[in-house]
Amino acid sequence: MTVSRSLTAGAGTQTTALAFSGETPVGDTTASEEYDGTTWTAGGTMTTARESLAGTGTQTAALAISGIPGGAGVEVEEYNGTSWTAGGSLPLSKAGCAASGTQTLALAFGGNPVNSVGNQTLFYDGTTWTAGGNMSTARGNLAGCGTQTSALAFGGNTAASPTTTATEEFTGGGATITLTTS
Amino acid sequence: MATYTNIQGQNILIVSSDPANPIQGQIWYNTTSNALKAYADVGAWATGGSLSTARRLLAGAGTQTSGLAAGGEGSTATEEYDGTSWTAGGALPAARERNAGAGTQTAALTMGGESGG
Repeated sequence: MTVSRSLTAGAGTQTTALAFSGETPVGDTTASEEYDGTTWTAGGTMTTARESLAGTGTQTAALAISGIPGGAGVEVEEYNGTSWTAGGSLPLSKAGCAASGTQTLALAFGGNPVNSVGNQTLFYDGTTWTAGGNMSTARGNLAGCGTQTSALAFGGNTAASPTTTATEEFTGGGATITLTTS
Repeated sequence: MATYTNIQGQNILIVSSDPANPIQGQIWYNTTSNALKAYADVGAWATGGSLSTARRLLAGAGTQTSGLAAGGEGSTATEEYDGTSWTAGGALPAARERNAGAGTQTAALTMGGESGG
């Protein structure tokens, strides 16, 4: 990559990937870079520089989620292969979370502070975030993969331990509920 | 005051039978049952097989039944998940933590990070 970075996020495939934001030796960056399987080239510049963010999607339809300092940590940005625009804000900061799915059907889970958001799951529909079922092991700095309705969470740190081997599998499943009857 | 239409960009559906494929948060009025209904998908987490190497600040790739864990604090370890258990994959050439991942279990990419210790 052109910009050395850690606590960064990525999306895409092995030969069509995107790396964005993260911590550099001189501070957090707004830079994104696109990979074609051989070389990295500069992508669009993000609005909010941050680290410990999560990413999902593809090189041309990516999603950047939370991160610190990143303002309030609720910032979400969407990439279209050229530029980044604001997405729907998270209801709360989830820096150090993991994500799965696509830009318009995403899942964010875990994150810091572990005691308050580490077990929480959020659905994204391309506009707004809604709460999903909680993980059993609250954790931050974990990894994840999969889709919005079939995700995998693994590793990370819990409130009690700096590392964990815990793995959890998410299965989406909805139900129709009756709000009122006449 | 914001209305449902203001927020969702559409009116509440009025239908005689429930939608076949409702989406998260969708609301409709069923004239047959005379009820206001909604679709809520909260999903559920279940315990999977444990990683062999406990770690944080690692990268992930793949799917729920074909996942990949790579690196993490002070680690060169790669592990592959088959939907039930993790087994060792090819080690990274050097320890890498705070990295990102992309791709599939068999064609993955790790980006950025630190060498760690």
